[in-house]
Amino acid sequence: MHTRIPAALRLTTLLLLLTATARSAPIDRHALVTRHNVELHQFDANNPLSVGNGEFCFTVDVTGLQTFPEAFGKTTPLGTLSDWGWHTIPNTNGWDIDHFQFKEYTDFNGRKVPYADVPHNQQTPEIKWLRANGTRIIRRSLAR
Amino acid sequence: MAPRQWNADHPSVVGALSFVPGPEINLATMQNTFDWIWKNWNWPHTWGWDYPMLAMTAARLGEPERAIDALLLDTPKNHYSLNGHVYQRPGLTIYLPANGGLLYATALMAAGWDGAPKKNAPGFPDNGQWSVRWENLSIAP
Repeated sequence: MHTRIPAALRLTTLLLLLTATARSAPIDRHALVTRHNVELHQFDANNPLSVGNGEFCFTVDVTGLQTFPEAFGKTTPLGTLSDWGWHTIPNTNGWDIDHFQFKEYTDFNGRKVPYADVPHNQQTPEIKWLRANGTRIIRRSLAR
Repeated sequence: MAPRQWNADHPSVVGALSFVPGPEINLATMQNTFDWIWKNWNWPHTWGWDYPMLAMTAARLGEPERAIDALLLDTPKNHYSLNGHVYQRPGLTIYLPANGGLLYATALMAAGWDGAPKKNAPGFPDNGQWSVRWENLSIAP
């Protein structure tokens, strides 16, 4: 069963961030953010916490690390993801997006917009390869 | 009443005004559309960003109270977990577009949009209960 906090509670918290006193002084962001630090006091496989900076993300359990990854196998896996770690499966068949038939949507403010549509939801090896490459490496913690 | 099969998944038609504002939107028609969705939608079959999209629609229609109500709609797909994530279904246990949508809708309601009423936070209710402060946001198109 998934842990649910009433949307009203969570959103009230968020909107309170916008509540004001003096309008001219810059918002004290550190104080604002730390007022809403996430606190976990018990193990909760439904609520791993992701921390990051927009270019790197690391998802942890209540220990602050990825200590018990097996407990999250059926919820949200503990993983690590970055903007700089990419992977491509070798392209031995010379597949290329330029060979792909684009569907043209017309008349958007007078211009045609091509879109890499997949006709009839085809799942050919080429389409599967194009869809999956390149991709970020997802480093998943696995049971030891 | 329109056929029921058109009342599930994303209520995408309101996006023509709220998300990517298009030309020649008839506001009376959009208001009727919004009201119909509000009354008839199959909420368990939605996604987390549908609520921010409805909130932006309400704001642009001049109904800031309902913009707040949209963000707070108590439905299974509009619940924020303890870790801030929105659950969609098994295999999609965190649905980040909900979070992005909430941030964008809140920003639009605070900073305003092209053609919005000339006042602070035009998307928030002007009922004395809100005092909205924001910085470093762009006005939405």
